[in-house]
Amino acid sequence: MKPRIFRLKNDRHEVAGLSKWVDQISAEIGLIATVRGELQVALEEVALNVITHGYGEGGVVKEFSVSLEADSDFITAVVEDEAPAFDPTGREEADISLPPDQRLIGGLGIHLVKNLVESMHHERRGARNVLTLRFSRHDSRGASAAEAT
Amino acid sequence: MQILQSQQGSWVVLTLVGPLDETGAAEMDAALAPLIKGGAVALDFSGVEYVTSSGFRVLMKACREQLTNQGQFVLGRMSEPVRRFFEIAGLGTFFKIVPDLAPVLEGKA
Repeated sequence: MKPRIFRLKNDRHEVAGLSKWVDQISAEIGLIATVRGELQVALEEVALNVITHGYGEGGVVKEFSVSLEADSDFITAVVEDEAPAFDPTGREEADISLPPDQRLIGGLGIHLVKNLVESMHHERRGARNVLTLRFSRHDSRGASAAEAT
Repeated sequence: MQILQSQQGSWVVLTLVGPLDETGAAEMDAALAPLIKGGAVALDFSGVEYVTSSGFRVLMKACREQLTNQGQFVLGRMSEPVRRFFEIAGLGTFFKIVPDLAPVLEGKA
């Protein structure tokens, strides 16, 4: 599959379009529903983070892109924005061992992302943040969970 | 997201259909606002495909408010993948999650 690119603006309503785009590509490449859902959650979290924290909403319209590429084993997503340098891989995530009321609630999104991806890598290229996320195409967690029960 | 509201005995049941994402969470927040003043509220998750942190935030806020108002807040009929999102978020035990809502609505659980 050739890489496909989706562009978004700094408006939170844009993420609905991102999910539909993932739906479309998932259907084309025959991605199983479980993995599609994980991809949608992770990409929405990352995109919302760029929109609300990286760029901020309102004011000047700014764009960023999400690209998707698939091979037989992995889906690779690359999110590129021009917001100030921000490495979500290094950010402290929500400590889920704490009672939910005491958690850093803003960290929940990044916590979900870290637990849904196979790997995640941030790089600063000039004025751009380049975040690469890799997802397994196969429902490995589901299989192991089924074995465990 | 499509939200269908029904009354079953003393319970108000919201059946959620679609992803509980940024948009879905805002819609659910609006639907829940008049209901979380106490009383019994059940959410039917059978039509939910996935839940993002926006969805979890609205659910946590609503649950807290319901408990403060001595109300009940029950989530049920979740698919295995959706249940897994709750586990990953560390919220598997924060909410009352039941496999089947029927016994709860009939007052048997």
